[in-house]
Amino acid sequence: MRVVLAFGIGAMLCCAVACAALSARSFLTLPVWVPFLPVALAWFACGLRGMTPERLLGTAAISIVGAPILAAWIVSLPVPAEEEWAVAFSVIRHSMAVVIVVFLPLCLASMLAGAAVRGALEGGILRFPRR
Amino acid sequence: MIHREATVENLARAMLVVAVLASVTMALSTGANYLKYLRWTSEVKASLVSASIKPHGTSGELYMDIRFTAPAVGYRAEIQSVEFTLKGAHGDVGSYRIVVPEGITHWDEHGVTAEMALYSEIHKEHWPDVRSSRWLQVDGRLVVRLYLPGRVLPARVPLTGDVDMGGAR
Repeated sequence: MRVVLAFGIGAMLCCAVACAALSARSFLTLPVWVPFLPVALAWFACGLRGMTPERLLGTAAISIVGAPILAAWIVSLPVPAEEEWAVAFSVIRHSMAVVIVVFLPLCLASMLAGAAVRGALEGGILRFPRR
Repeated sequence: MIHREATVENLARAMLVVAVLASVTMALSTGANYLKYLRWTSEVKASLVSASIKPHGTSGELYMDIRFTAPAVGYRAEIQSVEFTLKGAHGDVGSYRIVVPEGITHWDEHGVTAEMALYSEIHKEHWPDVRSSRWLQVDGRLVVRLYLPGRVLPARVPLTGDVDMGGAR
């Protein structure tokens, strides 16, 4: 359970930052695809860690559900109080669209890739370099 | 086998840590730009230094001196136009848009304060109402083009002030 929470919260943080960066992309100095890389890496790490399918889905659920809420909080935090809710709702709406269209397929693909690499390492198809 | 499993788990943990660190770095760099923008929007202001009406032929002209102040946060700002409604004792007496041509805006050396003198012809159909009005007020906004790292954003800065009616009579 601790592993599910730790990996879920880690991936949620990466996903939330990506959602916030995409919502505030006018301020992004990097190309727009760069925020996707840490998220994909985090989900790949979840797959590589080796969990039962139920726990892996739990990790995915924590990151996918929590990310838009955390992104809305991050973006609306420095905004004046009278505009805070409007900004938060706008970010939640935008983030939910991005999560459904982009992050959900990316999450499944990255986790499956991680699990496949773990399977290949366990089956001896892939090997760590010898010291 | 156990050693290999531990290595894979450590690798997964290291990957997660790298991903979180990359995200935090990205959040800090984007957040700094975002905070600069919020500071700009909270401190930017436009004021009507003076405004007066003068008759011109069968109509009249409105002369305005405008001062624009924006904090120096590192984003270039360009004043594009002024959109306003003239409000008088008889209600609204016309809506106007003045495109600010290049070169008429005088910026100070720090690029913080800009001053400009603009004029607009009063619509002929509104001139009788403008002339007979006891008071006149400019209620509008300055349209500023703000150059952010990712895109050019039009910002609207409120502009209000009274018009000197001395020359209209």
